[in-house]
Amino acid sequence: MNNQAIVKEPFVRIKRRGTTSFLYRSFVRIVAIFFAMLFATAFLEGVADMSFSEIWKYLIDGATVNSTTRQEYWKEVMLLLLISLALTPAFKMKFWNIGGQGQVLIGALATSIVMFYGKGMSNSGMIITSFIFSIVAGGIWAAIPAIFKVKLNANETLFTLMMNYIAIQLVAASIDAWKGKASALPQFNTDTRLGYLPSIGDNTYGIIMICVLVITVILYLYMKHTKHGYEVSVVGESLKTAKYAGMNTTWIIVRTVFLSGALCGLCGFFYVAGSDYLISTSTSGSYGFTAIIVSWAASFNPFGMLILSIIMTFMSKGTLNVVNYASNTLNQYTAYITVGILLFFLIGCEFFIQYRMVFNSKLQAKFDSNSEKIHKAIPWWFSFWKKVADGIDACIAAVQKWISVNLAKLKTALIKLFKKNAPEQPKEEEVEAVVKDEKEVGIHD
Amino acid sequence: METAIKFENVTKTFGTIVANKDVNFDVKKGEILALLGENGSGKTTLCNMLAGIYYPDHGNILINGEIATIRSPHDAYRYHIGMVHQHFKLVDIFTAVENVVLGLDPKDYKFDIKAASKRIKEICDKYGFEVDPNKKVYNMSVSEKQTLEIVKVLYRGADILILDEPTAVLTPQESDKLFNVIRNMKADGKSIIIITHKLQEVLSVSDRVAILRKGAYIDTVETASATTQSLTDMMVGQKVDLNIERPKVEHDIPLLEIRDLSIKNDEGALAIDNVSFYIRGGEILGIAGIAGCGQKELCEAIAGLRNIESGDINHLGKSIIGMKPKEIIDEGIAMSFIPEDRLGMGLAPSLSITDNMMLKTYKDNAWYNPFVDRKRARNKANRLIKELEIATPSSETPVRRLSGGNVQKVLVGREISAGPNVIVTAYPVRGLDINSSYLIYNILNEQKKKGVGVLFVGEDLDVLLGLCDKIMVLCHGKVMGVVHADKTTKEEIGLMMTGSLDLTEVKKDKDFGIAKDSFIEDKPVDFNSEEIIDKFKEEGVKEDE
Repeated sequence: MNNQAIVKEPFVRIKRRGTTSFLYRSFVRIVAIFFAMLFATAFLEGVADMSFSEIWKYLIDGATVNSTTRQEYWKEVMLLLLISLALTPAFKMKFWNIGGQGQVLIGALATSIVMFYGKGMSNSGMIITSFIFSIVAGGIWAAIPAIFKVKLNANETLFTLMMNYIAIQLVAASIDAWKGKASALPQFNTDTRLGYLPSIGDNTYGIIMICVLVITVILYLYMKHTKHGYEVSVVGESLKTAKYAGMNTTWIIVRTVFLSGALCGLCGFFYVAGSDYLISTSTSGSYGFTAIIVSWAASFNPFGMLILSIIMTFMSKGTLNVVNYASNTLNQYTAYITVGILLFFLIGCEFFIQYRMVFNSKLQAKFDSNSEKIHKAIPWWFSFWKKVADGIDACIAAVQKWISVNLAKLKTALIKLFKKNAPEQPKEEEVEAVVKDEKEVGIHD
Repeated sequence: METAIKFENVTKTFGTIVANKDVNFDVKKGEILALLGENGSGKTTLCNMLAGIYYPDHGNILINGEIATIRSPHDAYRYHIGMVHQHFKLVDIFTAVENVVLGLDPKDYKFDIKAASKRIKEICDKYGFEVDPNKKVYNMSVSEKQTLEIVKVLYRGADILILDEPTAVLTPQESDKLFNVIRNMKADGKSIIIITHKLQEVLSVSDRVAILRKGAYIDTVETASATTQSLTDMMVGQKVDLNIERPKVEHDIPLLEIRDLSIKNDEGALAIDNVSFYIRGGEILGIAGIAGCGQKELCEAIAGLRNIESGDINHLGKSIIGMKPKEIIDEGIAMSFIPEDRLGMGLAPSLSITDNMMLKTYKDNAWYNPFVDRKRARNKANRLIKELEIATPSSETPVRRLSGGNVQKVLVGREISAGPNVIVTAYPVRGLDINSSYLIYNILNEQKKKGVGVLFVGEDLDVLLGLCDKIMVLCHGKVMGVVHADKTTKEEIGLMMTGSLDLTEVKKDKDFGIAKDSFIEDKPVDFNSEEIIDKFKEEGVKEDE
């Protein structure tokens, strides 16, 4: 230690980025998805022994080949989205509810009980009863760990996880009891179609889609603009601050987790009454866990979750289709691998959003001179991308302006409609305020 | 004198924040250099680069004339650099000697506790420390822990010592002791860098002063030729009036009376032990004491966040014991506690300024309206940003992104805008630059003039002496006495803080902490009685707005 060893400058260092723009974040994520797709295709090419074009044909077919697949695809998207949405309020409160799986199953079980025992009910009566049963059951299933959390400070991660296994066993026991001597449980009420959700036109799952999309919008508003949503974010930020502000934190936590469980229960209801007409221990696949990642990767933004659900379901459905046509023997676990690849890239790309890499001075100089060379060699490349980026910026600005101007107009029109003596034009301040509001909505991600 | 360390154009950025920009100065062998600057001026970052915690973006650090590359604290020790951090890095359940040998390279040192203890003793004797090598760290006082940190660094053979705000946690007497040790080390030829923003200490201990402002190096001056005023002016970059105002205000009736209060801390030990005091309208009562002697628990109890063991907290004759925090807020008691991380209590860091504004008022619109009224909160935020000169890109910026001073302005501003009649404020200027500190003092003085009672928990005795009317000194949860700020000295308070002087013992005949015109009587107060209403009228109590 006495010799003053000369230590070399580090090869690469990691530095935190400041705030990043929405455009940059989107760009990084799109690039990540692109690479994930490429990587997944390469993987499939290897294991399925198919060409690139074949793989993409089957991938796309998996979601779109005919109206049944399309309906199935969108149903899966919506149910994954619904569980992700359900988990979001709890996550926002830093209550790590990883028991979505169990809450979905309990909701499904509640629906099954109504469908199995309530044979004397009317169709609409059964739908309404099972709807209420499922959300209450799911809510209570989630509220139990919440109560233990607030009263005894029990660890909610372990607790909700363990509740999953209880739910699975409960479902298994019920199935055993119901199926009697049959080898498997048949679909409920196949002859009377009692308690089945009606289809819209020829779309069996239309009602699910509409419900989930409405819930997406409502949840967005709930989290962003209501008193409840505000309380949730304060409790998540700091329990001390919430108490200090006079909030009833016990009630807020239990209420929010109940809501989380209730939405999961609703998902169970959709599975049984709207899609499978049957219950099994794997009713929701592993969506209860996948949804955790969807919710996180979308940074708790409901619309981000919609996009992510679409991509992830595309990947899993597509891969299953590839598997069907593959010359080698493959099974459905291949789909888990491709979805895994997608997640790996999506989560990994957050690194480039949070940090930048700094190379040591020698290397940096090399990079600089090289990029200069590249720049000189193909200058159009650089200017082209710059133009594209500028163009996107301009488009966004134009859309924002258009919305704000038209919203201001709409507002005046509405005022005119409801108030006879309303001023012809809004005051300048008002327009400005609206413009400001709109910009914020645009910036929020 | 030879040069020990030389900074050449050292620059360090974090994201878009420039912590250090082209810093150029040197430290000579055998000198005490004070590194002076306001919070956020980059003192600690600069020293962290020397200690191997950060790596500079540009520029060189020269040690003994050669360019040094310091990538880790381990490298720093190879260059004989040791740093004592503001927050001690010790293992609580280890003894002193175990902490010292922890992390030493076995190639260089034989693991021999006895020999190590002996060397620690030698070092202590040489420089005048007192360390018991076999004492466990959790049994040590703050100043003992600090001494141990210094010994640890010396044991590793450091010739260049960096002390990051060493006196922040010490009483005046302990600081003097530390300075003596530092002078001994200087006599031994070691170079010492002291990071601080306390000017008195700079003047008393250092040889030269290097001044940083907003990450940029300003100048190095000889201490002998510097004055408090000249240093402040360089540090702030403009002329600053250093006198804290203490306006004379007619004292009002006792607003908050605390009688025989005992509170337990999180570990179940008594944090506040049988404490009685009161605050009158129009006065600022300071609370002095070493960190962690019950201030936090007291503040939390007043705000209704912590259950009390026994005693009474009385607001205008009405006991607030058992009230919910929200009810206490409605009573007109505002609390702003700035914890060490400066964000913990009272603010939600990731939420915007607007959202933080409505923390206590978000429920004020009609109960059936499910939406929060962001517009009103935004107006309030914008008004405060303007009035208190909060530096922020917009009212929608998360509080976490603001600098410390601005965070505190948000918190204190919100509390005051609620129009309270009692303000409990703990460490409101913790980590603030001079201008912001004075702004906060002015805000508190404004409130005092309005007849509000202010409880000011502070750490800097100079500030307490300048700002408060009376100062109550706590030591291990016990009141050591209440003194008038204009009739006491720093030394007296220092002695009381360590428990060496107990005024409650000296003047036993006096009823301590009980106001003559107290609302608390032996019989319960009938608030509707003629007498009390007349008393209110006479004293001119202002109704809550």
